[in-house]
Amino acid sequence: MNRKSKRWSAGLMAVAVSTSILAGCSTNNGGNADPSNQPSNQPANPATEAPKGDPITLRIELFDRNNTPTGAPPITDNFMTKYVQENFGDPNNIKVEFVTVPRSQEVEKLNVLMAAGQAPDLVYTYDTPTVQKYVKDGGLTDLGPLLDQYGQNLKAVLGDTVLNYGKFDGVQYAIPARRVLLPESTTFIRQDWLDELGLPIPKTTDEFYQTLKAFKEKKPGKSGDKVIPYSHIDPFHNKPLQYSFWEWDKITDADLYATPDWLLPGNKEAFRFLNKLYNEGLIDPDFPLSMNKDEQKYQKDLINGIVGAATANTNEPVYQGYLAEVYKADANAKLVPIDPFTTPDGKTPKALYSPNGLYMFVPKSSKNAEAVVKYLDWMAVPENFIALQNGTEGKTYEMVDGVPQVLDNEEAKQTLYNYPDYAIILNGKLVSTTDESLNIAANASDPKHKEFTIASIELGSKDGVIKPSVTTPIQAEIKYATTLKEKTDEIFVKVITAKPEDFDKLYDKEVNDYMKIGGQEVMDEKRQAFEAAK
Amino acid sequence: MAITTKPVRRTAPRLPFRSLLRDWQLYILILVPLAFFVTFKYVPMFGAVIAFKDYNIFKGIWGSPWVGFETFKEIFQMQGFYLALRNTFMLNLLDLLVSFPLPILLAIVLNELRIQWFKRGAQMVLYLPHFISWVIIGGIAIQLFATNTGIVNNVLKSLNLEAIPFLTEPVYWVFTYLGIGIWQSAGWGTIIYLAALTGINKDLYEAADVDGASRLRKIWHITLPGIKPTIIILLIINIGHMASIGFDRPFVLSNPLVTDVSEVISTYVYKTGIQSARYTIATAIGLFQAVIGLIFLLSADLISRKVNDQGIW
Repeated sequence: MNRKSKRWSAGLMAVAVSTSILAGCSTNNGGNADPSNQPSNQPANPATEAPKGDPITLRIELFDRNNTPTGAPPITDNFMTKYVQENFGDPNNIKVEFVTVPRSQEVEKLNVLMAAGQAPDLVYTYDTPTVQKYVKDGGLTDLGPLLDQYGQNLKAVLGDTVLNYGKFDGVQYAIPARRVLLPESTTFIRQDWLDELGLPIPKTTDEFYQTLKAFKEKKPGKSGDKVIPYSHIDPFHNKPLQYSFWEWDKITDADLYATPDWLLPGNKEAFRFLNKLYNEGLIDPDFPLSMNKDEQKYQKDLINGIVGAATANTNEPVYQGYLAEVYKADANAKLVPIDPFTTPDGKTPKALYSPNGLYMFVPKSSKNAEAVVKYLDWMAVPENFIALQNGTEGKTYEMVDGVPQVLDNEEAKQTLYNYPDYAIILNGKLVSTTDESLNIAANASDPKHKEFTIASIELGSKDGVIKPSVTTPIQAEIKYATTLKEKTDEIFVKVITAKPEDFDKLYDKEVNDYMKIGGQEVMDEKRQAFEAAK
Repeated sequence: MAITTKPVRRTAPRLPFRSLLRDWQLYILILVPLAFFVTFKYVPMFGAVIAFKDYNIFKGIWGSPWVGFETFKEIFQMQGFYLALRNTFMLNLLDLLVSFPLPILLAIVLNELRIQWFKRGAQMVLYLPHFISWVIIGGIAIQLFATNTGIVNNVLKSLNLEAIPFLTEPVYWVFTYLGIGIWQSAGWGTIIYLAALTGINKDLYEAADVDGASRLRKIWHITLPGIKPTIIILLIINIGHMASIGFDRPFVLSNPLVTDVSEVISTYVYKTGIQSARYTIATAIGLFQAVIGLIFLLSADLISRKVNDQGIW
């Protein structure tokens, strides 16, 4: 303490002295305190210089998913937050504070925090229109220069492609996370049902349809009358089916970017097929009641053994744990990933995520943009992101063939259930920036279901398509995005549940409505933006 | 103020202040609720200026530029707004027709019950649904009324009857919406009437008994006139709420198949205003709604004064 207290000589008030000494104590393990005569009320300069003065408080947004296992410590005071404080905060004289935001209302809550000027220093969202709106309203800090100065590790991990997604009108207002795995969704089927009926794995859309019909008629396994041959029907998870009906030779990049899916050639046929599945009782007949509202419904049906096939987020059955539940409920059950939706020439096009994950940004009201970039850069050091994604070696994971293998123990479950919310620069586990197979292996988080994971990722990426993007904010989209999304849901359920004879009329009428309530405006503006960006 | 009042206070009698001085404890007591209303009801009203501004959350209310009635023009051009407005009026009107008389009927029936324990028990059972959150009711509704997997339709199907699309056909959905509303709130609505019923002079009933009046006669000539003022006040208040509608009930019961009838102003504001962070739109619709509500309230009051010589003030 002697060495440190010298620094307080320059006319400080008693209160300030006592708080600073307390702070000084906690930074002792930094061990590089340099006696200097600078007045301590200068802003602390983390990472490069010795800690001095009052610590700055860095406030970081944290999703609260309300999924803390019983017995686990609170999400604002656990292994992760301590790791951050001890390895980043203390050496840099920064007090890191996590501010929770409910996951399901993140955008609304973020808007309120921003409007009140109380947003944390580092905030994030997945919602592109929200970021564009903040940019347009002039509420974000330009992170470009800071990134050049302090973000070398971060730049190396994210790469230019990802970083470009965070540039708006050429300015780096946001830092996008890197999405390690791009597949959106993968279809899977009950292998044991196929075996029972002596059917092969369906390899084309038609074979898939025949298989569903067989499931409906023969009611294999323990399904009975409630059998749902194909479940989890919603606009997002039906994209592989939808994409396989599109007439790709007639679709240009501009169309893919600007034209709403509803108008793309072939889209109507995709929905005619879904309509047929509905009217023949091959999909969940009450899907409109739970769609986008109650994800549990489909998982429950699957666990209860009445679902024959479904399309889910790639590897979701493993990482959300319901694959294990299915196997627990029925010892004979076996789910295998499949890739059944084919174009006439045998391709299986499906949507891939763009390589960026959530957007991280710093509100203009924050004074700590520099510390934010330093924090993210610290996180981009492999030692740190591996710790934030996997915990402590020997306790919660082991290194197997250069890949962290999470252990199946209580401590791992209590530590790692929400790791992505801390390791925010990555979406998915990362081990290597060069060897993609290591990363796939790293994401096979549960060794018991490794095969399922690897097959899911492979089939979910096969013939994948990334929709083109343009960084210019589309004003009409900012304005109408929510309305159009609602309308999409409405058309989706209406045309699928229509009587076959009404299908054509209804489809045209609804799509016409969609264009009238903003769809046309969005399309026109997007087309212009696409031309301009060329 | 101080300069002008001082000489006045010296010369004029202090009549207006005398009661204040005498009952100062009472005035202090009323300050607390007054402060509540000023802070939470009147101060936020200034936020309504957002409706006339191009509100930018980073510039704040005063920093954002004025746009006059632009926002209102935009709202009146939105197709969805008219649909939401129509549905709000439609659902509220039907609710008024069906759900308003029922608590009165229930209260009278409960009042006629002579067996005390049964009356209490019945009251209790009728109140209970009021305490269940709409989210839970929404879940129960799907379990019961889903077209293909709901319990009710499973029973109908086992009896070889056609399944009824309670939640998926607009017309049926409106009935389901009304029915569930009645189930949830009718019992609770009886409380005020029951309280009013206890205020009726028992002598009137005894006199009617002496005159040999039947039970229905007594209800018609004593009970109903006795609670008439309560009925009228509640009716006026309900009409004042015509343009506003709760959020939870239409939101949890709706699904994409019935948005044509289930999209109401509150859910519309939530989607276009709050979820898309277009606070100007949300505020403008809210303001519009308040003005319509005020017009309804005042006209209902006026009509009631003309016809019954009785209003809420």
